[in-house]
Amino acid sequence: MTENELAAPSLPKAINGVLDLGNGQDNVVSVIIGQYAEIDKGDKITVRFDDVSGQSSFLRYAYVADLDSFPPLGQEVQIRPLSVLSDGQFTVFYTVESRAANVSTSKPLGITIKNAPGAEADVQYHQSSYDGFYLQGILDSWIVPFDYTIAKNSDVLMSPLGVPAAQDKVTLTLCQRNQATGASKAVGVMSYYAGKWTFALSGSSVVLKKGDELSWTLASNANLSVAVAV
Amino acid sequence: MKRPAMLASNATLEVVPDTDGQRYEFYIWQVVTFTATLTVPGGIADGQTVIFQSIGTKNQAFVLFGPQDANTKPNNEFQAWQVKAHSRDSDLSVATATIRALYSSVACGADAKATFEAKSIDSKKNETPSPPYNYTATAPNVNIQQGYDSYQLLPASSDNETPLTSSGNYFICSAYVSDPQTGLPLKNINMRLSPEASHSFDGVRFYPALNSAITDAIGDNEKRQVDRLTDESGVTSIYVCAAQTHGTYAGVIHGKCGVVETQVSTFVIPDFKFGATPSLPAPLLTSSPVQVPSTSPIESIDCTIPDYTNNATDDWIFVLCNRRAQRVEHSSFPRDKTGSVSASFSKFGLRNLTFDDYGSNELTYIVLPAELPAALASTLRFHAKGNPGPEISLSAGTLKAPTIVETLGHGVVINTETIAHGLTVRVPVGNRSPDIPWNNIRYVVNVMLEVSGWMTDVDDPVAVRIISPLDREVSKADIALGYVDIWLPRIEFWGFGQSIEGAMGRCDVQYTMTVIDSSVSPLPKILNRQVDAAHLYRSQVLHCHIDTLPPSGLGPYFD
Repeated sequence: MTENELAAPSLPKAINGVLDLGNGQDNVVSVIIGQYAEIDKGDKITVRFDDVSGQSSFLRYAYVADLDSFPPLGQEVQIRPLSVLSDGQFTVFYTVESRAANVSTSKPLGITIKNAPGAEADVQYHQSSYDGFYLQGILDSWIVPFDYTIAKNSDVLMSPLGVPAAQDKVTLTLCQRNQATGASKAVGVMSYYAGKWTFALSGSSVVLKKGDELSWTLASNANLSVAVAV
Repeated sequence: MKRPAMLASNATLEVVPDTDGQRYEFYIWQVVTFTATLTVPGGIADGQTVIFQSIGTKNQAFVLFGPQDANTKPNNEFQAWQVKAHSRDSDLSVATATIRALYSSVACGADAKATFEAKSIDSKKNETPSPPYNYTATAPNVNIQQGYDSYQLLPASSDNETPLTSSGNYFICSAYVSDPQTGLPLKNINMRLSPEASHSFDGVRFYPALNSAITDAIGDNEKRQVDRLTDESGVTSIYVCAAQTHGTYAGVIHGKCGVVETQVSTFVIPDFKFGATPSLPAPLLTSSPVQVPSTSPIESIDCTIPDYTNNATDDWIFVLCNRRAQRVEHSSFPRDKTGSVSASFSKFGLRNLTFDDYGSNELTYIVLPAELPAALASTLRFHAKGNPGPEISLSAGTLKAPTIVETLGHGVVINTETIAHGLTVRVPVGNRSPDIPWNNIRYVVNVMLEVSGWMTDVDDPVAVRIISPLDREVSKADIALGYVDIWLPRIEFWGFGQSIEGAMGRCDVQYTMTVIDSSVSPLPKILNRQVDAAHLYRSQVLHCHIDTLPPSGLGPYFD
């Protein structure tokens, strides 16, 4: 007993299987999920983009709030920001999970993405929150899971969780340890000054290889209250 | 003139079976490994030939079982099997020869006495006979687990479907073989499955285990039979998959153990895509729309199987409603007369005008003649109206409730993943069920299920599927283990969803335990849900929620 396969998703902006993001008109890509046999309140729709080279993938979700409100022409799932997309070939499909955790999977849709803005520049793969009093030294470290590049300062995102205790300045240094050579070097600095967090690369860009180690080093004891995504 | 054989003066030959205590007591169709040990003091035993005179074709009780190696050859003079003995170490004066044989005699009744004989012959034609081993034979007791139950398979999705690749499209033929007096489980007893009708096994393939590959399939296609031995627990299990991707099949499977033969199960594989047989008209109903009875003990609706061409006594009839084999009384049966006959199908789960559901229902049947392939009849589309009323609920007893193995540690909702390989109901016995006296009393456990939920495209009323009773004897091995497992196939649970308001479906499970009266043979096929609770050990009811409706629908077969 095998359930039906769901119909493949559609991307209205993809023409003949090519999604060209070069016109700069919109900052969102829509994926349309057509009506399926047993639409029910609480269904969880998960859209997945898989890079055919196996380098990257990402998910986006939507929930069916009401059986009667499912649009006749299909449920839209928005992909944003466009920077999660990169040039290349992708397989797009979705799953629908009912409240009883019954899962159906769609047929895949193959697309080619062209002219993705900032492609591969700001792929987020590590996110941490630091909230409390920390001693100086290595605060956090992680292994880079795949090759990518931190191209500009804005690729490192910071979000204050609250107002830290009164202090003049906090400095966190981002260090890269090369897996092949074992050499470690500072590649950027994240600073708090005058109520504001900023990040600055040491050079023009940081080329990361799978297996490299990244770490945050705190210059001196400090109160932190910030979330950071690299 | 043939020269008389010479006796080796001081050599000895002993033969021992691998039975309990190496006793010469056999059960009919028991597979026994005999080990002959030849000892030649001061001489060479290695390389001598041992002739098992009792294993062969000349009116002997034992036949060779399984493949033989190069050391085992037929002996034409004795019409028996001979095996070359080999020493196991450097002492060549001692050598052994082993052979595996099935005790097949059906001429011997219970407790019949006979003699097992063997002898060795050396290069100079000197003979060393074994002592004559007197033995007794007993017919084992064979209890078919889930006997008389009907299964439904879908046509195979590929030519080489196995249990694991079938998406749960298989069922298990299982039997428990025990000593008729003590009830102790018997291992290495051969169970032979065979079809009642000629063509039934063309539609199925048999496997020894859940994880069997296509190359592991068992059975003799020409003889239309499948042999399988019991394990340490006295249980033999055979996994049955659909073998054909199209065509309708049906079967009545018999299980044979020597002189004991009984019906194991029935199965149908309806292929609606392949189409109906023109000579089989659709079943008939008395009214349109059909009136659904609301009276609570009545669970079925009558229909008529018409007088189709070449109908014959003993044709089997299987009724299907909305593409599902029916489980109510008189929904699968052998004809006892020719002409039109009455049959039944479940009143639950129909699309129903009373509930503003204007969809139609489908009613049809399969005919299984003795000599011809099974055939699917034309389909009657009909409307139904009338409230079927509430289902009969299981009445709770006091014994510890059963559990469902697949849900242990995985929450309370039975979903499509839970039933990937069917459901296993686990019944506590022995120390885990202290309210029952276990010493020297034998029991049959009966498992009953009521599954209710909302079928696809049917908002109301709730559909109910009653799976009852499934029974088997509780063995000594089960008692030592602390539980008995009863398995049910995936299709029984497939497609029960929630109501439009979001109410979950329900799966209620209960068991009863009945004392076996050893003077009754075969074992009593006892219970249904109406049996007086005062006469039974009855368990509490396990209540589970069920939703096995995939968002994409039930697949091409049911949609």
